[in-house]
Amino acid sequence: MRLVAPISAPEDIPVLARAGADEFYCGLAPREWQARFGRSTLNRRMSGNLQSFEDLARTIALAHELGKRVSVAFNAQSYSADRWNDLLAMLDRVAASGADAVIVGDLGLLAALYERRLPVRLHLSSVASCHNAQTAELAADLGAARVILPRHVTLGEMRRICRSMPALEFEAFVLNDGCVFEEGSCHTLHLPGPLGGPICLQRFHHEYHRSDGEALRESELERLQSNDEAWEKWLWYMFSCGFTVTAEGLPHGPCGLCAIPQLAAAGVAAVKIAGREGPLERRLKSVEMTRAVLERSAGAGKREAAAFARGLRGKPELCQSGFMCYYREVSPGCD
Amino acid sequence: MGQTPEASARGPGLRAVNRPATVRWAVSFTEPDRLVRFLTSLCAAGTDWPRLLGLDLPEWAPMPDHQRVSRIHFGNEFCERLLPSARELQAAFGATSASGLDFGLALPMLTDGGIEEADVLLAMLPEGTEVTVNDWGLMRRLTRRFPGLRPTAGRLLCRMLKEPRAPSAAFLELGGHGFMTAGLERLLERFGVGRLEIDVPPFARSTDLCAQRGRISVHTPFGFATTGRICRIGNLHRPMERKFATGHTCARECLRYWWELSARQEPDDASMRIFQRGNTIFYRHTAAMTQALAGAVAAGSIDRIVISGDCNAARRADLGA
Repeated sequence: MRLVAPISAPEDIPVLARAGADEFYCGLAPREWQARFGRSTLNRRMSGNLQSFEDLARTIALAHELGKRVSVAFNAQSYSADRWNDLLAMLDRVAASGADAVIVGDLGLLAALYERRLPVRLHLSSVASCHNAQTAELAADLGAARVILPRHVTLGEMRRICRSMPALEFEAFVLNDGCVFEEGSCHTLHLPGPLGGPICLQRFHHEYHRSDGEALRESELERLQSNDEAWEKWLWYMFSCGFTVTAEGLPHGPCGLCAIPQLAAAGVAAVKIAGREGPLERRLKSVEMTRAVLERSAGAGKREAAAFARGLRGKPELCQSGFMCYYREVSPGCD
Repeated sequence: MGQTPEASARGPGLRAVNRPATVRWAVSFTEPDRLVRFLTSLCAAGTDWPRLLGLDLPEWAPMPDHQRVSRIHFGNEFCERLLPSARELQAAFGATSASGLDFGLALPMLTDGGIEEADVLLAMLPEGTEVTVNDWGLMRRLTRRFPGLRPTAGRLLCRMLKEPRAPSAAFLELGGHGFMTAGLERLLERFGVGRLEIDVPPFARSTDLCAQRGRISVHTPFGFATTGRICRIGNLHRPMERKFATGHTCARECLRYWWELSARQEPDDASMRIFQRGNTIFYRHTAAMTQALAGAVAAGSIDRIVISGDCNAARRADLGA
């Protein structure tokens, strides 16, 4: 299995390569684009992007020297018509720059790129919401070489998708940055804190109502309150356990490391570490953890590899909760 | 099942169309019982029919032809767990046909298991029936396996920023909706899609609610902001260790409860009302958004309006739960 890591600057390449990354992905938001169309319109990130084609060229050169691949994310949910021609021109330039792949979140853009026959691999982003084999087959029809599966896909569903299209590569999330909703169907923004932050943080007052217009009974209120408390707890895990790390700097939060043997058995070819915008130290520790589990998985049984993964942070209670798991089927709490 | 009045051969795809002179009104329902109750009361309600759904008439006054409902859309766009049974579909179709209205089926994003269930439903529909598709894999399947049905691209496929908490249009860096690009237009044409369903985004202008090609339906008075597979209320009855897992089952608690969301700081008068039902957060259109919609109707950009008939933040008890 290949380990795919996020970078936000060319200098990240040697650091993360030494730690065990096989491939890198990045965003690109040239300053001239930002000035015309805004900061987040290319790849859904306000920060963490390469700022120029010169940076991209350096990134590709550094990666290729080390025998590694670079993918560039163009994973906005959609691109509006007034930006379309500029976007295609930029993608032509990215392909000509020697990038190994572009990651695309919009099937219309995927189709357009396939027609252009660019000298670059096409990867379908998790933002494209491939939840079934038919979507994977459509991606293949449109020239995709790899499909990055969304976060909320079970191992069983993955197995079925991967087996339907053995010629396609599949990539799955394994660490960091959960999503409460489906990212391909979330039409909101991660607003600045004073405006409410991400909508999924649910910084709201809320008031339940019954659909039949009747008043809520005491027993219903109690059950709803208990469910809300569980929801708040789950959100805390989804948002990286309050954005905390272990004493050694290992990140807490959404994790599928113990499922790596099952991901491999399902037919997943690459595992993805999320968090382009995160600090380099967090990404470095993430790569080290993932590489360690991949190596252990290669020489050990599923149970041993899973136990090793769950022991990395030295906090079994986090794994035991199940709330930190990308793939709950292998959670110790669900055994 | 027999044909509904509008059923005909597959549509022409996204050709440029003569702009409509009138707008047709559709009402969407997730629950068959609620749909049947609506149809039973529709005749007696006359032009007051929006009140059956708890909606005030004045906001529709600028719209033409609001006197008559002509279509029913049955099915939920947001959740695979709300797929109707074959019996429910039969009942909804039968009641709609008996009322002389056209019928359409709406389907959500689906897993492979959900697509298998959808296959059973699609096989029941007469040729020419419109199906609102919200999943690209289903779109591929439908056009290959059921070429006699007419696919409409649903609003989950129409991506655009719909951040109900945004302070201004400039903040959103708006650039129109995602059905407008040449790439997506060609993809929709490949599937023979002749109609697009869209939401009214916050800060919309009339000119945002149009397309170069194809016919446009607009949902009102609620847009959806976000949706997903993990459902807060759908875990109400699940044990702690199994709550909020991908692919969880539920007891369709979303049909029993909804909840209003309000900012923790005091909202001003222009703030949008936000509520959640099941796995989806919705916003209610402001007067300015309704005005934009009315402007697009007047300009001939929109020929169908889809009104939510489900329980929601505006409901009254007329139709019951």
